[in-house]
Amino acid sequence: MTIEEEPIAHLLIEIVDDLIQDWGLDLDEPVGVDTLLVADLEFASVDVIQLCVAVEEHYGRKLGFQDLLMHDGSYVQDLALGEMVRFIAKQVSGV
Amino acid sequence: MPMIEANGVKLNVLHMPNADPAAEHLVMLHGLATNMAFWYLRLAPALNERFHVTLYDLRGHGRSERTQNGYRAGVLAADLAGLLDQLEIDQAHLIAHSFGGVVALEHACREPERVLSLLLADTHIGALCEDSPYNHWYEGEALRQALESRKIDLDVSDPYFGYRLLKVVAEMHLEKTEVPEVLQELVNPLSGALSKRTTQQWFKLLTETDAENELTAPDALSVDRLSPLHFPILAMYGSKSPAMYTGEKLLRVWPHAHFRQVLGAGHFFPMTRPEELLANHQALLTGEFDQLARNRQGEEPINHFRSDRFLYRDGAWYFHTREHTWQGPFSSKRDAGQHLARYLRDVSAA
Repeated sequence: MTIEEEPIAHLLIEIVDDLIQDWGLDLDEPVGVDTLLVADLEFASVDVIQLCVAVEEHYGRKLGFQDLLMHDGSYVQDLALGEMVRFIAKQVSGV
Repeated sequence: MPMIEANGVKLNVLHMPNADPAAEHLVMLHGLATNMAFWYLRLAPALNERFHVTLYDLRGHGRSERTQNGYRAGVLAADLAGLLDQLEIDQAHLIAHSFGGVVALEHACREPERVLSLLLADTHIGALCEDSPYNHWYEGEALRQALESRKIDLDVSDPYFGYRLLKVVAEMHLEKTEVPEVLQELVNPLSGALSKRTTQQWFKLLTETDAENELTAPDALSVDRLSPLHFPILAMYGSKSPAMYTGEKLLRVWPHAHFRQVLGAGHFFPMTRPEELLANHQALLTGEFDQLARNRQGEEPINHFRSDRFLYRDGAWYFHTREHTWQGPFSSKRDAGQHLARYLRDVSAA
């Protein structure tokens, strides 16, 4: 993980921990960049939107999450938090 | 995203303000077994460039409260009116998909002065289809055979086939049974892994509350109630969708409305073909449709479905032929248009 990506990872983990706090999940490991939103946290599409909105509110701008989350009109099957971190870093830096 | 209590139920709401405080409001209503995510990624941001956009999860869906009852269209319309009151939205444009359209229409019949325009996307209206069989739909027979060969006990002529299919597919997902390919297009929102909890939620809604009986109770959207609606209306239906029959019925209900058939698309075209929905919505509000002659000279003034001949998908353009094929990809709409002209020339010369 690059220096730019570290604070983004912290931000995402904080938001996700807040989102899932009362879901009663039995996690083997704490939420991290390798955590899968669906397989590990049982995210529904509306939870992903909740996460995206929280991130966009933090940065005060749209980040174009559709490019990360949609393929051929359907949501992707699953996503690791680390993939989201890299995407946000790219969007924020404008690369 | 805030939870707002309206009509006695807590609703999950996302309000996306436009930079211009004077911009008009637009509210989007999703269909059954899905949630506001249906709109969020591909449609809401584009519409937000012009409108204050409000998305919410219907009662019992997404993160909104699941109540024991209150799933008839009348109650859900009261939820919407209550939500608009809470947000101090006097009037709004509405975009509604599937059952969300039943809710939007019920709201419009009760308070027509609050609706600026309506885009109705693939909504089935039971009250309009009671007089005739439901099984003459484009793909109905093929689907009936597919269901029979897999011993899936569903009647494709049932007016609420779509709702019952969603329940059967939810059961398949929960039992980890493979969903036949022929059903995938019909149940798009339940087909991805991201929807495991959405599937569980939908199944619980149907098995633990009064929702199934209330959702399949006859709606009260009769011709007498619908025909006085005079705000701008655009009805879009997928050409492969079972709901198309409702669209054909609506042609005679609203002579002033505009009708678009999305060629080759099924029930969930707002997700799979969002560009077409956006382009047609814009045409509705800019008056572009009104400039098109509705009927040829000398013909009876009868409304009919039109189709877009060009399709933009995954970064490329295609054109549709009278032989029901899509030709492409092309890099621009202009390029597709030139190839279409050449294609027509070749066909007429042959």
